[in-house]
Amino acid sequence: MHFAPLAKLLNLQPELLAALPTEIDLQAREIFEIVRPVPMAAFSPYSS
Amino acid sequence: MDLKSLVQNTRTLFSLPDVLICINQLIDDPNSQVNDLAETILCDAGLAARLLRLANSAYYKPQRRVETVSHAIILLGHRQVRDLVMTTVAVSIFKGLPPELVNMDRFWLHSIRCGSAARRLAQHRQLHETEHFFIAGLLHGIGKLVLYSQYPEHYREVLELAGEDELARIAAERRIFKFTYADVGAELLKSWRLYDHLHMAVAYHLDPSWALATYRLDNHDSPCRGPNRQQYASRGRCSFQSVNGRYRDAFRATRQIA
Repeated sequence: MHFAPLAKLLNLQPELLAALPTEIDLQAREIFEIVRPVPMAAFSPYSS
Repeated sequence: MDLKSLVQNTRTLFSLPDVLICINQLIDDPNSQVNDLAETILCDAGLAARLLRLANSAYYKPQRRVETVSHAIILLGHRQVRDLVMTTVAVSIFKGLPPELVNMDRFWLHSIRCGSAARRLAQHRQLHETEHFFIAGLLHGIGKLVLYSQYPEHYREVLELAGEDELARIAAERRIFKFTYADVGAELLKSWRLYDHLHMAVAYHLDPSWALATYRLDNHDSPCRGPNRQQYASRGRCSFQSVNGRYRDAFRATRQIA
């Protein structure tokens, strides 16, 4: 993946960006599972 | 097709619920207490359950089970609560769109990734109020949902012309609607009055070089702001295909993150 253009634009180190996709994906999937519409009877506030 | 009429006609359909407005006001009020916020969230059982689930998730790894909304707010912090509430509300507002036009799971997963990436980049840049970046990333594509719901036949034409190629889709939207999903999203967000810069971030996310310096994070000169501005302006609205390869490359890198 080529993060250099974005890193240059934002004055960040490309290495910082290279780690982002995995971290972002894990976090986003977790949030998505919580917010997706499901019948409340099937929703537990404690399972993850 | 008129952009303002389109958004005006859909304001009732895509309006923010009172509970979100109330929660936003409480979070912005420095004198509000955790219990005030907890009581408001408890008015919406679904929201309260989701907040507890986030607080108990592997991401936060609480030492003991979080069983009250007040405890969840203290653990997560007001800003994380706002992110979750906004995400939940956005997902619920745009239910029931034609599945042949949009895969909603895919749409929201991408939107949440964009929000998370925007927040993380803002943290790297040591900016304040990083939850605003999350919300801007989360909502950057909601104009598409408005178009899918109001003009499904026209949007089918866009898809037939452009397929899955995002840049080609934007060009096809301009050709068919005379505006893009970014314009629609910005107009809707303006009507929601969440905070000042949100609609600007959404309006210019396809053409960052056209945004005023106040709303930009880069430190580069732009042809749109420089001595050649007239030359570019005379072509009509800037687009990253014609004006600035730097933004196009950055856009592609962003797509790889989210």
